[in-house]
Amino acid sequence: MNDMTLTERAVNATENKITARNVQVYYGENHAIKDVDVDILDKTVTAFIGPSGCGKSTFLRCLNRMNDTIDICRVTGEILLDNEDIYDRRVDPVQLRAKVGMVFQKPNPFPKSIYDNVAYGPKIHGLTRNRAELDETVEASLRKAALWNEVKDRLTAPGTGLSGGQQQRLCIARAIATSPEVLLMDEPCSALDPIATAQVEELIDELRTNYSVVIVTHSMQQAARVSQKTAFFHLGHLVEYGDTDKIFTNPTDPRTESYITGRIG
Amino acid sequence: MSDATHSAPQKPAARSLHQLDTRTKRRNASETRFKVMGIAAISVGLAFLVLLLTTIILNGASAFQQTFINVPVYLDPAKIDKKGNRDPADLKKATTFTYAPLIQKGLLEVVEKAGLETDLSKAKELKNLISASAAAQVRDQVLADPALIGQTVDFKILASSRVDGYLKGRVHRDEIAKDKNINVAQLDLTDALLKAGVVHKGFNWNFIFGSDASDSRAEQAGLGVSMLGSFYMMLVVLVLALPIGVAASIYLEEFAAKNRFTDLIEVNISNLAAVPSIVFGILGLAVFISSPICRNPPHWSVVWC
Amino acid sequence: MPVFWIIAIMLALAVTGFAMGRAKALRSVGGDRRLLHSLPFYAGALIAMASFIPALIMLVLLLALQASSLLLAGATILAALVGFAISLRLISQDFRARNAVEAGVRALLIAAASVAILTTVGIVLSLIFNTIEFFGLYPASNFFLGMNWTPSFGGGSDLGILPLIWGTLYISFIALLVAVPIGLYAAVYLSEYASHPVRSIVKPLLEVLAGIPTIVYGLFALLTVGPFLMSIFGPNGPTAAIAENGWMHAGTAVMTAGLVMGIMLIPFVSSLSDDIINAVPQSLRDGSYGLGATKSETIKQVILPAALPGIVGAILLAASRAIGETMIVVLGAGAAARLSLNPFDAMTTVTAKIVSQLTGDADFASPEALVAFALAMTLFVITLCLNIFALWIVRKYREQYE
Repeated sequence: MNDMTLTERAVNATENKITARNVQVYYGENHAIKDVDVDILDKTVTAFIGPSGCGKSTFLRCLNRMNDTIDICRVTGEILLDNEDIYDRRVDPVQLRAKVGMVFQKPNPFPKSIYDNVAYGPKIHGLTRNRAELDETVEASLRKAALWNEVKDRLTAPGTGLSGGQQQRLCIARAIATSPEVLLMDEPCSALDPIATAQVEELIDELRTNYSVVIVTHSMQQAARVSQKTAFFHLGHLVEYGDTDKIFTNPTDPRTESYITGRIG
Repeated sequence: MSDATHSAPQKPAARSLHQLDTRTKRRNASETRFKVMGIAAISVGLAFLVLLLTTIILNGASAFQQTFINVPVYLDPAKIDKKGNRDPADLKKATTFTYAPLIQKGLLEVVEKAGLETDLSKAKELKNLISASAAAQVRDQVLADPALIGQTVDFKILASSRVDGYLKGRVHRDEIAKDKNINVAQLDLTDALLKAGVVHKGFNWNFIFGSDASDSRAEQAGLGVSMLGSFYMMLVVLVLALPIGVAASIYLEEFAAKNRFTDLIEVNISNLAAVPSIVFGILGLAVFISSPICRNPPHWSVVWC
Repeated sequence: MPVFWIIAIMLALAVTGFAMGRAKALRSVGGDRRLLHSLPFYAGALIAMASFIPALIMLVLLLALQASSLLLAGATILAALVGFAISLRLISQDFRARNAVEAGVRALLIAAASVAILTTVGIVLSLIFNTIEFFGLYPASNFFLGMNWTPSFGGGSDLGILPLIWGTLYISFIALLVAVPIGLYAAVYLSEYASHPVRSIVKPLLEVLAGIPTIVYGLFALLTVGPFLMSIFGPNGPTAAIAENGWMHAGTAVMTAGLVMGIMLIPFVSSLSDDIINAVPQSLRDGSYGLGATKSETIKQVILPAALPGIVGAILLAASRAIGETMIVVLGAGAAARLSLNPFDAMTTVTAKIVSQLTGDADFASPEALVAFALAMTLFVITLCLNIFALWIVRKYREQYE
């Protein structure tokens, strides 16, 4: 899979989208994330890698405050989106999540039709003025998620009836439909077969033109293929963060080297 | 994918996350309304529960208390044992009609001794204060121990249900004009006797352990026999339902193949749970009136001894 | 011979059989149990089963047929002995006693599972025969289409079921109107909003409502709710200004019974729905929150649709409880059969009339008593249809989303 050709686009935007400083996350007594500082760039794919339980998913969920739904979880430190603190008291997570969309590990289409799955976000956020605009948004999102041609004739069929790969792309279309600025992906390919994985990876690369994408992955090959920046997490620490090429060819930290050469993890 | 020009309506210029837009405010208000509805639903449910329990308790609690009258009864040998031989067979001939006047007389003596003011000067006029069961209570005690005859024995006797109801606030003075079972003078006397400590309230053990009673002596009613009936019912149901139910579920879960027969059984079981109990009652009745063993049941001793 | 002794003899035979079977199995291999096909225990168990169970079936059959005492004892003990002898002869070194015992146990389990079918068949048969008898005395068309219910035990009664069905449906409708919104909102709040301690206290408290015997609810309707409604809608209440004499003329009314029945059904709806909502996968909630939906939007647009088949099932179950409920309507709804739209009128239901027709002094062969079976048959068919409808909805929904 390493020789898969992806149309590598130039990283043309280097402004910071998300800035995290001194982030700590506690699950009850458990200190899950320790002193994480990271700058996530706009129009870039950033990969979080690391062994299981290292905190990469936890940190990802901090970025759109999904951890708020867990009672015992406590986040301190500073996370800025476009220089605004997202943990500020004035921020409504509902508004934040419209800007920072999320795709989960397991495809989780709603028990609705394909159309309604995609239209869900625009409807609740009131992004369209009429039915025609909504139709347009749904079509555009499905096209971007490379699913339109497969489902255009059965938009009223239940989303749960699609194959695994299609379901995941439907979930991506669903996330795109709210026109987010950042797209968080929590191991989006772990439940998919290699062909579906390839489709989703290609999609991620295309999404980079419009969004800042953060992807958590277990597969180092995947990180190398799709990302421009890579962050390596280990035991709750952000060990190393830099250009993907550099992390995979010439890491500075011995722990990173051990992990990418397969000695830990 | 270059054709995928995102033609969705232009998003309004990026707004600060630190300001709530009007739509979010509206959505949050609807969120709060929804939550309040949930809390209201639960409060209504719990309020009904509290209301139900309070009504039951308020209406039922007084049943655990019962009014008693302490009466020393002179067990007159001339009335009870006319032959004077203390023979149980002869003693049984004295019915409750023999005993009732003795008790009334005893009560009248109590009233006179205490010097209570009352218009009631005859023993018979005190009859309504005393439960109709009192005579039987005294008679049973005499039959059990004939040696008591000729003595004055202290009895703790049930007050009539009207007296009991008056002391519990169920019977009101202004409502008894047409009541043949009590009059105002008797209620006055009840008050006086209560003050004198002759009439008093005690825990109603008979309510828990006693048996049903006729309407004419409601004060004597108890739940004991009914509870025993309920208990037997529970036992029979348990003995029948537990083994059959457990065996059926073991079969359906562990052995049965997925086929039409299994489906039929499962649909049947879920349907039986939804059949109204009155229909089961009808089934019982139909079996009862049609099967020979039930129409003409063998005596139980034929079956068990 | 009394039954007690027959059973004692059967038990003694079974115990002896167990010991003898075990001994014979061991003897057949000279005490070396390794050579046996099945453990000696199975040989014993087989003989115990073979001597006890056929005899027990024989005993129950003969008792039901009221056989004479001699025949009863003789046939039963003979059955026990035959089973004993045949199974004892079978025991040998290679006999597959374990397989035989397991087949026997399996047969017993199947029999237990089939009791449900037997009961249904029993209900249907007993209802059908008596209903046919009733229709022989009273025309079926008058029963199903009659608008009047005026039984008189002297004969010449009108026995039309329509007023009763109307009363049943009206009361059930009001009960569901109370129970479904309260129960659903309570379930949603408990499963989605309530903290763990609140949930662990409130849920059992609400379930107490389901555990209260219906006769207590009936008393509650009669003593508390009826007089309360009378004070508002009765001749002395505020509604007297609108309608002469007020809307309500007696404490027993459709509203009284419906309200109280609704209270009883709250936990049926809430508990079942709560379990069903909890079974909706967390990933669906995450997906919706991740798109920026609020909790109530997630509930209304994702969780409730996903839980719909189960919730519909819960509501239909509550409906069939309401239709079959007896004591609350006997005490709370009144006894007059009437077709009226006023929810404050006294009406009566199918169940209440089954009770009153059978507890009267009527001769069992008279149409006035037999009508109870026709009413019960109707009730049975209605709840059966409701049940099948519920299963159908659930199945259809599942096919769509699996």
